[in-house]
Amino acid sequence: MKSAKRSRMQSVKRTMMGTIVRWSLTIIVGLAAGLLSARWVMTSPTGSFVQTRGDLWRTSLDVGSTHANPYVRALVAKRGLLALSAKETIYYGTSKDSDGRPLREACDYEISGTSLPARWWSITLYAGDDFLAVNNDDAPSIDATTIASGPSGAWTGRISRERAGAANWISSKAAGDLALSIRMYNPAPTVLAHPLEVDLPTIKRLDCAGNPS
Amino acid sequence: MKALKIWIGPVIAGLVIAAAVHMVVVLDAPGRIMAAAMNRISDDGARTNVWRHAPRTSIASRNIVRPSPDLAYSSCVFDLSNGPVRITAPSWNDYASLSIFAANTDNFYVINDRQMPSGGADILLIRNGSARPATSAIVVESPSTKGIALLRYLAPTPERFAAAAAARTSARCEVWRD
Repeated sequence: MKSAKRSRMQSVKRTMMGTIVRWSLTIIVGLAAGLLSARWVMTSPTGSFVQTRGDLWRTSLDVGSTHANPYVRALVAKRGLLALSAKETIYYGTSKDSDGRPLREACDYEISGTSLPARWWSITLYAGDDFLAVNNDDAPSIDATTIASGPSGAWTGRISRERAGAANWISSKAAGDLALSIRMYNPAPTVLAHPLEVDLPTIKRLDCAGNPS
Repeated sequence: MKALKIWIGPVIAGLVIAAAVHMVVVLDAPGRIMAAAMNRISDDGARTNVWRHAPRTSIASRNIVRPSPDLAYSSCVFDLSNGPVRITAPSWNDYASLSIFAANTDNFYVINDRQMPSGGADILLIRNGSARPATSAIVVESPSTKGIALLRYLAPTPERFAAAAAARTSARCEVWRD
């Protein structure tokens, strides 16, 4: 009799334990999934930012806008706080080369393009933490006022740890996994009308840590 | 079948929790990140309604993500709790802008050098819905009591930065006295 009662109690206990474990597990997984997915959408522009021609640069005309959706607003807060609205400035960003490979400090790149259709433009390199790479090269960007370009406005630059004689150089020293940001201040009306059709620079990987790519 | 059934409730609860946490974090982030930035710029609220002129952007510039090394920045954390705030920005012989951001990060106002009168921008910032004072300044309504005003002066070289630094000293960000 006693043995049957004990057995029943043990069965109830097992059932209760099972229930507690199931609910605890799903609550923990739910919390983690919510946090991680929020973190992902706030750091990766893949969802709310659209790709431009050539699948290299991404942008959104809703940056800084009072009409921005929560995802654009959260990503801008995290990775571009105090960005101007599109009428004043359009921003393009990438963290990969023209072949879709992640940009890395260990590799050298050739970046080339033409004069961009804006009153002023620049291309700036940021380290993985979204600040300037911690080096003393004083070469974090190239901009429309100082870039060396040909008569047609075409230019070529180098993104690498060493200048290697390049006329236009962006230092990637100490940048780690790097990202590039294009700023186009007072963009031409055509840019606002067709932001994905702008002829933006290409980024060709040359070699990585001395090994040809 | 029974083994599967007992998971239905917990799994639905887990999905609801995941969706709720996701949305709360995403919706809360702009205000939280902006508040942290305002605290950094204003020394935890001790220096509001005053321009703070940043030195030339360098590897030490870590208050706001993705600063441009080609621009001279000044920032003012405005607080309309004690009434309107007057914000002025002197003109500049190249690209310059005065932009104003709400507590949720929205850039609700911007004026650049080509849009400014020859003497520069003169803004009276008021809380939206409040009475518009009689003033010659441009009256701008802010959707939030607190936020950030930002000056950008194009200055890609040390020489241009020095000139911009001299030009911006006359900028004002202060509680308006009628």
